[in-house]
Parts: sequence; structure tokens; C-alpha cells
Amino acid sequence: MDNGTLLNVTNLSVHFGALKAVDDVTFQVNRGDLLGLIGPNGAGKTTILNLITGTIRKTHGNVSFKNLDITGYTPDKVAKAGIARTFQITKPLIGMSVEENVMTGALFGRSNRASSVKAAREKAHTCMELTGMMEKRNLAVGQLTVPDRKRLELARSIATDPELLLLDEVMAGLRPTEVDEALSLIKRINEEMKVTILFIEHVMRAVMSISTTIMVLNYGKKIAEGSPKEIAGNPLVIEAYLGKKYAQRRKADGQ
Amino acid sequence: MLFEIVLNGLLLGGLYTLMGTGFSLQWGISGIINLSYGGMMVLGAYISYQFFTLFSVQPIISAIPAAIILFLLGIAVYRFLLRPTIKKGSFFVTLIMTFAVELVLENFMLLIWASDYRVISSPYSNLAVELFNTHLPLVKALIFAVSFLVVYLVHLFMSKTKPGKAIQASALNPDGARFIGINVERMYMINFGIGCAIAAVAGSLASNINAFSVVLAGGLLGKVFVIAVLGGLGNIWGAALGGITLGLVEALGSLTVGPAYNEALGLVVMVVVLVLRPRGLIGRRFWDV
Amino acid sequence: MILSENENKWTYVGVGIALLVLILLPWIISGYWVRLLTSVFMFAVLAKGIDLMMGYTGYVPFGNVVFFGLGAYTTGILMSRGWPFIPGMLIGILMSIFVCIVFGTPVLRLRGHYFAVATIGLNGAIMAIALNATALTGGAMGIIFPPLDMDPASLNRVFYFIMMGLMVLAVVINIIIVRSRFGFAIRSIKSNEEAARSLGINTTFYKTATWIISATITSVAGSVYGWWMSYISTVDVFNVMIGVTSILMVLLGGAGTILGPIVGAFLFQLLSEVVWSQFLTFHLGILGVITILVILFVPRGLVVAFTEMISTRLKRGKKEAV
Repeated sequence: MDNGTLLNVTNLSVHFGALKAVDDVTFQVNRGDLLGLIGPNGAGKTTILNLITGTIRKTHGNVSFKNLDITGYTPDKVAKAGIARTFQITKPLIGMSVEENVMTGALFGRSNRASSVKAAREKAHTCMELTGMMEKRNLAVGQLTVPDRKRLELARSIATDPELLLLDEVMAGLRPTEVDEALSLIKRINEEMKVTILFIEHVMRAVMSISTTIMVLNYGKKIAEGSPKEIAGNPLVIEAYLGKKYAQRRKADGQ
Repeated sequence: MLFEIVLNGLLLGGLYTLMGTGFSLQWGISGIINLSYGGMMVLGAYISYQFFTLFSVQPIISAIPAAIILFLLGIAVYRFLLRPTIKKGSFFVTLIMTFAVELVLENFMLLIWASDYRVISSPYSNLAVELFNTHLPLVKALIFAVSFLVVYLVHLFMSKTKPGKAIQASALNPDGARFIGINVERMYMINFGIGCAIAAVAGSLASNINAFSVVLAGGLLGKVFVIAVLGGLGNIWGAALGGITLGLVEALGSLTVGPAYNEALGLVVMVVVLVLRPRGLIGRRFWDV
Repeated sequence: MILSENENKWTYVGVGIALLVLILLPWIISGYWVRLLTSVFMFAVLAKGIDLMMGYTGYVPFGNVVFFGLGAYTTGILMSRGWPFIPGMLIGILMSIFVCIVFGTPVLRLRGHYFAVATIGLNGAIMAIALNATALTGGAMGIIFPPLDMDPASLNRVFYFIMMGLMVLAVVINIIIVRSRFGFAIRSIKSNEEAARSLGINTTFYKTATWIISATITSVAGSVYGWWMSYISTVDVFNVMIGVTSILMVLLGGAGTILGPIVGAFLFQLLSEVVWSQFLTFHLGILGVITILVILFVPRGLVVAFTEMISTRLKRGKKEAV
């Protein structure tokens, strides 16, 4: 494995009885990448995230991160290794303020085991400034709008100082201007904070505009991987999203 | 001697199965750990006892009025006390509510019957059969049979009848069940009532062979918890496995360390199972409940 | 913000006055009331022990009284063999910690329900062992502590202040924890355990560690109780009702607040005294009914309800003034 590879997933599968939710998936994420993970609903995208973070147990396969075999690690160990994640349905820490939420990330993330509460507060401020949550830092979670919850979740996850950040449909439910904001924020995190990002997304223009690579899943299998341009023209991808007939018609039309 | 003890353990296991089924149904389907289950068993025993002494209803049959009364009581408790609590609070507040119900039940029973031990003894109580050189009381065999009969009937109700299937649907997928028109709250309520009725039957059957009193309620709860954990939740055959296992463990335990350590032994087995096979010996994973 | 969410300087004045009063009381009131207050302090400590788990991790050890019994019995057994109190108490703490680790590590990994009820079984099992290891524990006969050579009034006062000190210590421990990194961990477990894990928090470790702290103060309370009463038996010190009433006190006063469990303990014990002396035969039932009413109508506890009411009045007052 060369120095550029951060995450190495090999032959990863998880079976729920007869259902192969993730079927023999292999891919790599290189340092600095912005890897977009797309596919129709139920394709297994979130499941892959859950497998990487140890939330569910794999049936077959391997996950290694920076040369460390993290297959079978519990979620907290995965986080400590340097992988952070956000949830599709946000999971803010209810009963704690916005600032306290982000501080929790700072206190327990990767390199901060001996961190003091004071240092954590400073780090939290940095993350909240980046995501535009500073003014709302004393609010209770219940008072936040949906976009704010997403910003909070993002701030909290980067407060853990990860090397790899897994985003699960961060744009869901956002208006177009908010999507643009989120996109530029993700780019900043990737470029300025040097965080490698693997993100699941349904909002196509988001994926197409910032991804370095895109991976497509359908029925648990990887059906394509490549640059945004390659993916856009890939017949298998078109078929997965729009159906066989449409793909055939396109072919017939000579595209 | 060993055979007699093991046999008694098995027979007791039948009763334990019945006990465990009711508790397991309430926990697995209605999602309620019913801390008043022990008290309900004892109440069922007392009611049978009264029917037996006042109206000369035959011992096993006297379980029926107990079951009916506890069913209605269970429904009332669910509707007026548990449902508002579940809506409002976290899980453990509901737990405490069931404990409060237990307190009220115990006080009620103490007022009426004091803490004296009662037992139902009838002409049949002493009939026994000699089997392979061991003394087998007929009552115990009868209770074993009736226990499994009731469990089987509950199984049939749950899997073959419309209300039974509606209850299962409500547990497996509440939103889906609501979507197709099932009144999920009512199903949980009925299920809770059924659990209480089963407790009553178990208590009333037990009163034929063991002296009972309000004092025993706590210990019964402890046992029933072990059975449910061993067997997995909401799973009737799991309760059977759990019940028989506990019966055998207690039997063997009484041979080795003495009957006083029954509770400790049951607990140890339960913790071991929890650690090695969190699903219970055959049931669902606890994480998913 | 140290003592509560809605505090101001009057909170501190109030607490200061209360403490002063409590310190002076033993010379003003009769022995009966001194002993009553001592038991209130003790319950306040037990309630704090429970609240550390219940109000912060969200896991409720119904059978927490097992540590009370372990502390009492261990200290009693050792003292009746000539050991002085403090080493006896320390060994009691060690026993309790041992139980926490052995039992807690597997069971705390699961969800709260199993832990809650399994601790009842734990208490029952250890009680059974205490009852049957007659050679060591005296079985049903209980254990007699070596008596203290003091006149009754002084004796009452000594234990009054020991228990009060224990209560204050419990509050201080609580305050330190809440503002520390440890506090963030356990509060996040209660808020959303899955999210906490995703942030790198080893939730089983923190739950167990919290339980150890809870067990320690409960165990110390048990040791002191035994020494105070001079005689203990299994039905006293392993009584599940003690554990459950502690929980009710926390509910009454408000879980997860610093003063809540203490207020709850005071109210509950005083109420219980009244009920017990007037309505002995209905004691259990009334307890049950009160619990039901509290759960249905004051679910977040009195301290929270009270402070919220006050702060709403203050805000309304300000608005009207403007």
C-alpha cells in the first residue's frame, strides 16, 4: 500500500440472512480525496459507512486505515483512530448546548485524550467559527433549525480532529443556497484542514462539482468508479438510476 | 434420588415456562418490564384460593377466574397508568411506574390476606405415582401439562388468530401496522392484559404445590427475569427453553450447593448467558429490542 | 453555574443559610429529630449515588442498595473481629468496586433496561449469600458492631455530622464531575449513546467508572449506618426498598440536578415519617400512589419545576417593567 492510501476496503460484505446488503465491495480512498458515494436508495451506501465505523459487524472482508486493520473495531475505537462521521438523521446531544456538543467532540476525538476542558472550548470555537455556529453556541439543541443541526454535526465531527471524515447525506433537506454553502464548507475542510472526505450524497450537482472520484453502488455491489465525467457517461450508472429502457434509448440515440 | 430431583426440576421448568411467557410477552411486545409481575402472580394465587375455599371451585379450574380478573386489571393498569407514562417519559420512568403498581398491589393484598402463607390443598394433592422407583406427585405432572397447554394456546392465539397477528405486527413494525389500520396502542394494551392473565394462571397453578404469600412476590420477579433473559424476549419457545433450564439449574443447584443459593445461581447463569449469547439461548438480539 | 441551571446569588445565600441552620440544629432539637435528620442525610447520599447513574448516564441501578449492604456487612464483619472503622470501610469500598467491575462490564454494555432489573437480581443474590454464609456473617442473626463509648446525645451528634459531611462530600464530587471531561462523557451517554461512541467515547468504561463512584459513596453510607445502628441484618441493609425509595427521591427532586436528589430526600423522608406514623398499614400503598402521581404530574421533579417557575416569574416581571 503506497503512502497516499488512507482507507483500504477489501471484499467487504455484510449479509442479513439472505439479503446481501453489501456485496464484495473493494475500494481505496487516498489522502486528500473527496470521494463521492452515490447510488439508488437501498444500494448499501450507509451500510458501508456503518461497516467502516464498526456500527455493524461485517460478514466478510477487511477494512484497514493507515495500515492499521480496523475491521471489527468498535465505533469509539474507530473514532479514536481518526475517522469521524455524521449521521443521515442528525444525532445531536440533547440536553447539552451547541458549544458543549462540539466540546465533546474536541475532548474525546483523536489526539485529544488528555485535553483539558479549556483547550476543548477553544478548539470548539474554531470549529464553530468555521461552520458559522459561533453566534448560536449557547442555544439548546432543540432550538436549532435543520441546516443548523447539520452544521452542528459537522462542527462536532471535525472537532475530533479526524483524518478521514464520513458524511452521510449532509445536503438532504437543504435549500439550493444552503447546498452551495455546504459545498464550500466541505471544500474548505478538505483543503484547509487537510481532511480526507468520503461523502454519501443524492444531490447530483453537489457530487459532480466537488468530488475527485465518484463511486457508484447498486444492490450492494460497486458498479462503477471514476472521475465525475466518466461516471456521468457510464451506461451502467445511467441504467441503475433511470432504468434499462432509458439507458437503451440513449444508446440507440447514439450517446 | 438424582433422577427424582432432576425430574422435579423438569416439572418445575414447565411452570417456569408459563411464568416466563407472560413476562416475556410484555417485555418483548409491549416493551414493558413489568415489575409488578410477581405481585400479579401472587394475586392470581390468592384469587384462585378464594374461589377454591369460598365456592369450592376445583383447583386447576380456579385459575380461570383469576386469569379473567387479572386480564381486566392489566388492561386498566396499561390504559390509565402505563400509556400516559410511556408517552411522557423515558423508559425507566415506566419501570418505576410498574414498581409503584407493585407497591399498591402488595399493600392491597397485605390488607386483605396479611402475609400468612396459604396453599391450596385438595383431595388430589397427595396422589402420586411411582415411576422408576421415584415418587412423582400427580399434581406436579398435571401442572406441567397444563402449563404447556396454556403456552401452546397462547402460541396459537398469537400466530393463527387475527388479533394475535395484529399484536405481532404491532411489535415488529408499529408504523407499518398503523398504516394498515391496526390500532397499535390497543394491541399493546391487550398484550399486556394477556401477560397479566398468564401471570395469574402461573400463580394459581403454583399455589397447588407451594405455599404462597405476598412476601414471595419479589423473588418471583427475580426468577421470571432470569427466564426471560435466558430465553430471549417475546419468544415463546425461548421462554420454554429458559424455564426448563432454570428448573434444571435449580434442581442441580440444590444438590450441590443447597437450595438457599437458588437466586444467586440463577443470576450467575443469566449473567453468563448475557455475556456469551446476548440473544438469549435462542431469542433475538437485545440490542435490537 | 454551579448548583443549578437557573441559579443566582440568592441560591447561594439560601444554601449557605440552610447549611448554617443544619450545623446549629443538633443543639436545639430533640434526639428524635437529630436522628431523623441523620437518616435524611443518609438518604440524600444514597439518592446522590443513584443520581450519578440515573441523571447522568441514564442507566438506573435499581439494586444499588447492594453496595450499602456490602459496606455495612464488610465493615461489621471486620469490626467485630477487632478492626477499626476506617480500614473496615475501605475494604467495604474495595468489595463494592470489585462487584461493579465484574458485574458491570458485561451488563452495562447492553441497554438500560437489562441493567436496571439485573441489579435487583444482583442485590438478591448477594443478600442470599450473606444470609447463608452463616459462619462469616451470622446469617439471619445479623452482625453486631462494637458499641461506641459515648452518651446518647453526643452519639447522635457525632453521626449527624458524619452523615452531613458525607452528604456535602457527595455534592462536591458531583460538582467536580459535572464540570470535568468525565462529566462531558457521561452526559453525552445519556443524551445519545450512539453519537457519544462515534466521538470516541468508550461508553462501557465511563458507565462502569460512574457506577464505581456511585457504589463507593453508597458503600461508605452503609458502613457508617452499621456503625451508627450497632446492629445490622440482611433484611435491613440489602432491602430493595431502600434502593427504590432513593430513586423516587431523585425523581421527586429532579434527576441530573445537583440539589434535586437532596431536596427529594428531605421531602420524601419527612413525608414518609408522617405517613408511617399515621398510616402504617397503608404505608406501601401510599408510597406507590405518591410515585404514580409524581410520575404523571411532575415528571421532571420539583427542583426543576420550582426553579423554572421562579425564573419565568422573574422574566415576566422584567418584561412588564419594560
